Amino acid sequence: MSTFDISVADTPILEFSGLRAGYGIIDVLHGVDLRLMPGQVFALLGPNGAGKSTTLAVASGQITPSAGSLMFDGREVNGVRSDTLARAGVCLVPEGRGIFPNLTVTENLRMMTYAGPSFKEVQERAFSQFPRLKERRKQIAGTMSGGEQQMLAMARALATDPAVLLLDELSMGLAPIIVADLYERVGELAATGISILVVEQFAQAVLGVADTAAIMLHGKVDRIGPPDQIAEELAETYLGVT
Amino acid sequence: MTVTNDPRAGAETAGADASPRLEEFRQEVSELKVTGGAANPERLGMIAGVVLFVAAVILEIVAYSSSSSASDVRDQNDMIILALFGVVLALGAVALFVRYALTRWFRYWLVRLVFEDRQQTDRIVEALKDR
Repeated sequence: MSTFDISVADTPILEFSGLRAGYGIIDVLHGVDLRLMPGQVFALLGPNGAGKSTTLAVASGQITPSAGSLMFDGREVNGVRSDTLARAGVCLVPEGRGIFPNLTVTENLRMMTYAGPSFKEVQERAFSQFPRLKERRKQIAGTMSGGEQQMLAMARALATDPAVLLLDELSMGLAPIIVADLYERVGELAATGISILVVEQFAQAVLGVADTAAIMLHGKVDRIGPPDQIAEELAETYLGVT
Repeated sequence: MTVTNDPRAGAETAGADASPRLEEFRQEVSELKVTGGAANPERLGMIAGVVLFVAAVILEIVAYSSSSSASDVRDQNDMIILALFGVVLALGAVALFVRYALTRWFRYWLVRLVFEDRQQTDRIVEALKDR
């Protein structure tokens, strides 16, 4: 445990309060309540179609809530533009990695200079976090392994010096050993003060680094608690075991 | 089964004391210009169309009753102009309503297509796995 300042942590860095949102006339989230505290790793788990990715789309400003509140640092920001949030320091790593597969690693990193940092800074941050990318810097991103592509996606996100990181299905299509390695990095990032909301369908990898976990079902947060407790309840949720 | 619903559970984390980046983020959030947004602008457009149409009908009724009780031709001419304005307003209201109703309907249709497409992809992936 570090020098944790409870007065600072009292205000969540990201908060959903009774939030409803969806696509056009169809609501996918039916009153979501969750709080991400500064420096915390919050794991949002649940089956396919539960509304997890939509939750991240709302948090990153891509979808405007139809009711309820989206708050950053206690301030309601419903309707704020996604590019404004991205510039402020909210960064989404989308499902499917979100890289440019036909560009090289270097070119992919160069694309992240939009946020302000110089190309040199972007490269330094990326290669210090993921040295393997330095070896692959001239390689076309789409020809790298799934794990390396996910590293590149993470490196691109970290290049913008985010304060809040939103990770969507980091483990998708990757071998367990690579997933474990990536989540180890996630834990290290949280230790530097970045607040992380991670969405996962497969829970085991993320529960090891999460401070809090929640199960989402049918567009609502069903349970919130410590990761070990949620891990026990996951089987019941998925399999209906009592 | 034990269920915890405390959103702060496990909140105390390493490295969470206010870093310079966190302070900078807080500052940027406090300076954000927030409009409040509108998640469903089509609905507002449709409501505006209905309200304007009702207003146009009322205008027509007022123009008709006023013209029939007016004995001066100049007053009747004023009422005719008012009635014509009512007709234009009604046409505009109908156009507004149709425009947003169609957008709403097509958006729903698009979501349905995307959803079915995803379901189909999942089925194909599952089928290929079994081969």
